[in-house]
Amino acid sequence: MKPTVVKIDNLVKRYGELVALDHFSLEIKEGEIFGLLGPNGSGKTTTINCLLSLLSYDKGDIEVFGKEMTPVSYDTKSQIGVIMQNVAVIDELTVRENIDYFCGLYVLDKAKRKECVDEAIKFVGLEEFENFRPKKLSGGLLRRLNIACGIAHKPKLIILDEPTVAVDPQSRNRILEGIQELNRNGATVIYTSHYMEEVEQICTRIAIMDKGRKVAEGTKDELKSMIRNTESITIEILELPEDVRAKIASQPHVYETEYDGNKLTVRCSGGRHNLIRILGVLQEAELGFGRVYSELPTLNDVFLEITGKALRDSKE
Amino acid sequence: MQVSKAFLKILKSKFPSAVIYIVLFFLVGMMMTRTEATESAWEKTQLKLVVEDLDDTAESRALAEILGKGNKVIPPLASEDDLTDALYYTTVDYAVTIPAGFAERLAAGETDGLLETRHIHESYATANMKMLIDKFVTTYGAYMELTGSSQKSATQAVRTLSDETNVVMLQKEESTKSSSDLLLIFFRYMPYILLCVILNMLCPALIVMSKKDIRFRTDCSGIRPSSYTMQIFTSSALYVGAIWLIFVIAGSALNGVMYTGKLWLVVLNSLVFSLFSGVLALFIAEFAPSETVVNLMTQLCALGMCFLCGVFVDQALLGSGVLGVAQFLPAYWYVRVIRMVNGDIPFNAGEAALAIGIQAGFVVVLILLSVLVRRAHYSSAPRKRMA
Repeated sequence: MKPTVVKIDNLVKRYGELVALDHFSLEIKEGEIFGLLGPNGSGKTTTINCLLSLLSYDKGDIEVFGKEMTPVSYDTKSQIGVIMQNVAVIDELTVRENIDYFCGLYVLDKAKRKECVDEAIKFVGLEEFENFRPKKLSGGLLRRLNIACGIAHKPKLIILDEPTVAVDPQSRNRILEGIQELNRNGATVIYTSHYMEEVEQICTRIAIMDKGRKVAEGTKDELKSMIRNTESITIEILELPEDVRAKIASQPHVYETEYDGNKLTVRCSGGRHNLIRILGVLQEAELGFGRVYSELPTLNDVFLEITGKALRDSKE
Repeated sequence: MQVSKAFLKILKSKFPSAVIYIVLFFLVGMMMTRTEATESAWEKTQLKLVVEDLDDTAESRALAEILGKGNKVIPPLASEDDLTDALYYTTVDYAVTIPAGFAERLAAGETDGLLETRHIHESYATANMKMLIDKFVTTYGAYMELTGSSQKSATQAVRTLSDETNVVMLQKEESTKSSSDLLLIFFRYMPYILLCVILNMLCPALIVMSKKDIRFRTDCSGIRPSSYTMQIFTSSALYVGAIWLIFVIAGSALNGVMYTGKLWLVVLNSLVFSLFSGVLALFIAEFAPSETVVNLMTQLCALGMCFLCGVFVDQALLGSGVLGVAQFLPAYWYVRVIRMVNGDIPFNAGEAALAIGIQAGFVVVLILLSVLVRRAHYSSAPRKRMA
């Protein structure tokens, strides 16, 4: 059994009357890419800040690498790499100097540091830009520099707090591939995001958070199996008589229908050939229809079913 | 020393803005010292004067004599046009025509329209000339009242008005050589430039390091806060020391003076003030304002302190109320030491040491305040509030 890298037990954090973390517990094993998924304001960043002892908390225990985490746990901190949502680099230094500075906060040996910096530059693909100042870099390159500054010292635990916010799709893919590569190289990763596709794509285990509480935890398949929805069928249809809708709703495995005037959504729980059966009902009623989609459940469906609201609709 | 290294690199990137201040200071400083150096060579302004005496009486000759004293008298020109040209091209500054019948009208007690005068450029000297004519008329009138003799009155008026006030330039007690005086002028203006250069460079560099995200990343690392703070303080001190050294060497080189005797006190004085400027920058940066606010605060601190404390205006000319307030600022004590060494006020070693000590006190107080603010801002809070 792999050792536990992070253990959070019954963490409570209050900001006055607001409970930011409500008896939050978590256990992350070595080698995992652990996703913390939740809408803005669900408590993801607060969890990270408490984990890094940058924020006090009211109740609970935090252990990292089997040791209690405190503000003076410098040895433990030196094994952690942090990449935050905001780009934290020094505009007055070049790309290389920035990585060297942040790496130097962990690695004191000059020769070893140079090696680490070279590797980090290569890893994020900034070889051509190493003498550039950050202001000369595009948004995507800046994010890569931000990541290089956080991982140059080769940490065993990497915490990424929404590192792909406002990043173009190409850079986003590169970042996600990079995270997987870091994980393959032995690093345990904690990845927080409100982008369910990213979490689904790279995380081996996921905890869904809402209002400071953990509402579900498991692999993506485990999470999806927790809900009734196994298939969502969407059909573009301009006119849908009530009797036809009732007939669709009475089909086997259909548990919910939704019609907004031009789009019919049918949610099914288990079963096979659901789409064929529903299209058969429409043809029988001689109703014309447009595009048809059949989607497997996403983490958004999991969140929707558990909390009653969509991930993307949730506001801070 | 990773923090120091990065911090010094940031400071280096801010250096061009300081160069402007340094160059300007050296230029203005040189001009000021040259101006002050020529102050002792005072001489009365001479006007180029044309007096045309059409009356040719004892009174008119007496007036011409009075007007000619201390001025360069030019013979009357050939024509009115020539005079107009001469006035225009300033080969003549002032022209007086004493018309025929002047003596009679003067003896009759008339005062208005006695003379015809012409000049183009208004100046202190031309105003003085008008006053001199008025003085002659009134003095002559007074003697006429007393003696009743026009001849005697004209002679007496000339005698009375010839008694010029004797202007003597008093030399200060020679405590140092004259080039040392120039050096002291250089040092007197130094607080302004030290405050500008140090605050304008050090504050923005400190603010960069204190930016929320940078600080967050640093706090996440294994570096101890005490080590971080110490490295920032050491680098700042190194920078302040370098700036101070540049000025001390430049002061000596520009004025051709080696530091000896009491001048070392001035050097020590400037070192303590430089340190004060450094810790003031640390203190301001703790509040992490924007660069615009830093510029504003720099000017406020530098100009405010220098005007209040007698850097720009001699302390002897400042009111007691202003000096009362200035005593709570280190620049006041800085200037006081300069004045003692310069001989403006009696030199007292104990008092000079006290003045430097008070400045050092300001340094200590600001360091303590900066550390307190830093702790309040950045220290990681305790792990649990309640177990």
